[in-house]
Amino acid sequence: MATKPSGRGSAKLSAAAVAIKSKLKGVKIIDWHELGQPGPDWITGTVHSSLADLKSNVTLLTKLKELRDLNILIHGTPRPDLAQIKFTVRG
Amino acid sequence: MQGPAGKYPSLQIHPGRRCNLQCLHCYSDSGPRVSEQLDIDVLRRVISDAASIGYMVLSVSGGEPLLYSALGEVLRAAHVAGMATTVTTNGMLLDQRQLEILASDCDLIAISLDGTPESHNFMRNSPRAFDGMCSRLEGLRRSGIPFGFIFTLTFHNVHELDWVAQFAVEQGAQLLQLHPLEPVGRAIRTLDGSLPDAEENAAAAFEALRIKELYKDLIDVQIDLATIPALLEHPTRVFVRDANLCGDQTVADVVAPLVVESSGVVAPLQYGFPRDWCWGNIKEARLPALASSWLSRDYAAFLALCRFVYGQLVANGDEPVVNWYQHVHAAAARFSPQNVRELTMPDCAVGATDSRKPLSVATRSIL
Repeated sequence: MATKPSGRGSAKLSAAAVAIKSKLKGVKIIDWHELGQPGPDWITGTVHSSLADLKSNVTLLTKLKELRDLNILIHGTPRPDLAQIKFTVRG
Repeated sequence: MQGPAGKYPSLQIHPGRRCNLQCLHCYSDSGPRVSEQLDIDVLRRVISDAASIGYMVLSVSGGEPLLYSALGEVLRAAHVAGMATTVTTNGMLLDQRQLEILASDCDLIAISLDGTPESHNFMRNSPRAFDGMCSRLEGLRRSGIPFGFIFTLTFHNVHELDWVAQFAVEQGAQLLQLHPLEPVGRAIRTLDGSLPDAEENAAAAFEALRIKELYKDLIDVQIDLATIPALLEHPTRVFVRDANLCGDQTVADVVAPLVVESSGVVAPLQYGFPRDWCWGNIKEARLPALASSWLSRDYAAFLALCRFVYGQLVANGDEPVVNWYQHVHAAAARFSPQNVRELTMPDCAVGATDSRKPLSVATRSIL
């Protein structure tokens, strides 16, 4: 039998979105805003990621049902070596 | 915002409290060992009487209505009287035989779904509840009977609404109704601390709006909560109005939903509404007679109670989204009609001469 649930349902609404910060791999955070209390309603972030980690990081974000916007900009000439990922997540 | 009476006033009947499950949040304390039920002849009479005083929708609940052997006759009686019909069920017993009974006279089946499979099984107090219900959905779709899901909102589960909506859309449901947990029946004993508070109600209202927008062409999302601006804009929908029926208004326009409990007690608004405010028992008198006597005895006090609740909600302002039913239930438990008469209408208290125009039960054709 399932166990009795605990905690506010509304606090769990943003749990997946909040957890994304710790799940992104090998990124340098350029910009990060969490709007809303007690749980964030919106999170906007800009991170730099190596191209090696780009695929896993983008996959992580696109699997989030809360994802509302995603922009990827590849840097580096003549050989691309850095990706800037800008995203918005609903909490 | 539709008020409690709504465009289509509904009569909610609970033919019996026998149920194959013993849900933790059951407001009627139903279960496998409960045998209380109403006789089909009584129900036929109530349905035709209810239609004659303006009730337009019959909602059958329980207990598990599929365990009531004369369910088909109940629904038939409602259709004959010109009422639309809905049946609320846990869905586990919707086999081919039941679907054939329901196909001709049930306009909507509402299936209870309380979250993800794990949460649903917890609330339903059975490890087989979700799978049992799911296994019946294919047959239900084939039957062509429109169906929807009813989600009970608790303190803990608003985040599961998203999953529930997606599941409902995938299953081809036409309706998702969100109903806050009621502090009545078994829920008081087993789900202490699970009533959604103002914050959870507000989060649920926003989630419902988001889901409505997300699936706007696929499913109708209804929520049994009201915002304060909506209450301010439409006070008459929560019974903040003059006591006299006007024009072709009937009792159904001013008191709905009306609930007939399996004991025969007729309660306004919801199952288990404080007994002092009930109309009486249909085993003892016909529905129009009960309506007439309640209108002249308690209706003005009921309106005063609603005005008191409305005033508190609007003045308080702490809760942007409110469960009006819960507030009016709590106030009704605190004040009897006699208390309200003494407090707000001293000249109308029992024993005093009531000079107002007597209220009568008008009838109207709904066909």
